[in-house]
Amino acid sequence: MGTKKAADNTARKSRYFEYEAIVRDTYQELKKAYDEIKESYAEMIFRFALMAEYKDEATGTHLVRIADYSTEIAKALKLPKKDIYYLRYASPMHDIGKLVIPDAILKKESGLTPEEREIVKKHTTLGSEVFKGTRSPILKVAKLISLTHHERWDGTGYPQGLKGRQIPLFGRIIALADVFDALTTKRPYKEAYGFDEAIEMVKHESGTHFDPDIVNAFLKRKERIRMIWQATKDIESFVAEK
Amino acid sequence: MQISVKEKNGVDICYIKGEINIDTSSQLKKVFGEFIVKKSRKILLNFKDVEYIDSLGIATLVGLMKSLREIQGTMFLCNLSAKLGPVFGITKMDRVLRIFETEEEALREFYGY
Repeated sequence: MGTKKAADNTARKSRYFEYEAIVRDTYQELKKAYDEIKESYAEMIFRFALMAEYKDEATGTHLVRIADYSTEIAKALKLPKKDIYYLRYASPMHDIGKLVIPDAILKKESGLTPEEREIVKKHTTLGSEVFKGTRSPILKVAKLISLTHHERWDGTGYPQGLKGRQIPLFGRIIALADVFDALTTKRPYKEAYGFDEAIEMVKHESGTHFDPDIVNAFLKRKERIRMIWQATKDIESFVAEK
Repeated sequence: MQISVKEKNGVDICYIKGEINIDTSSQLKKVFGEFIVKKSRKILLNFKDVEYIDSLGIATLVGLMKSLREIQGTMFLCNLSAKLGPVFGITKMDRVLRIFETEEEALREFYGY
C-alpha cells in the first residue's frame, strides 16, 4: 500500500512539474508577444508623429525637445508618474493634423492669406479627429493635446476659444513647450531667439497666452530646460559636421 | 539606471539598464570619462535593457563620440529596441553611429571578420 501511495505521489509531482513547465513556457511566450506589441506600438507612435514633422520642418529634434520640455513641466507640477509617461509619449503627436494640410500652405515662406490661415488652424481639429474613439490612454492624451495646444489662457486661441482652466492641463503644458521651442528654433522665415530672450518672452505672456502656474513650473526648471535646449543643439551640430 | 562594463578581446562592452535621462546621464558620462582616461578605443554600448533615452542621454553619446574621435577610437551600439529606434532616426544619430542588431555582429565588425 505504502509503496503504491509513494508511487502515486511521485507521479503526481512529476505531472505537476510538467504542468508548471507548460504554464511557465506559455507565460514566457505571451509575455514576449505582449512586449513586442508594446514595443511596436511605441515605435509607431513616434514614426507617425515624425511624418507630420517632415511636412513642416527639416529637423525632428523638435519632437524630442517637446517630449523633454513637457516632461520637465509635468514633473515641476508634481503630476502623477502615469500622466508624465502619457505626456512624454503623446506630446510628439500634437501636430499630427498637419499631415492633412496641403504642403503649399504649410511650407509657404511669405505671409498667409486669411483663408490659408484658417486652413492651417484646422490641424487642431483634424488631429483630434484622427484619434476619435480611441481607448488607448496615450492616444486619448494625444487627442486632447492635438485639439487644445493652440488655445490661449486669455481665451483668444483656437479652435474653440477656451479660456483658463477650461483648457485641459495637458493642452496648457504643450502650448508653452511648443511656443518656447518655436521661439528658439530657426525657421525659413525667422531667426531663432536666444535662450534667455525666449524665457523673457514666455514670462511676458504669462496670464495672456499661458497659464501662470505653468509658466512658474517652467521657470522653476529653467536650468534643466537650458540643458535640454543645449543638448539638442550639440546633437544637431555634431550630426551636421559629420 | 545600472551600468556594467565587460571587456571582451579588447572591446569594452557597456551594458546599460533603465532610463538614460537628464537625471541619470551624468552616471553614464562618468563611465565614459573612465574609458577615455584609460584610452579605450573600442567601445560597444549594449542597449538591450535601455527603456528610454532623452535629449541629454543622446548628447552624452555625442560627447563620448567626440572624445573618441580625438584618440581615433570607435563606438558602436547594439540591441536597440524598436521603440527607441525612431529617436535615433529623428535626431539623425543613426547616420553617425553604427547600430548593430546583436552584440555578436558588432563584435565581428570590431574584430574585422
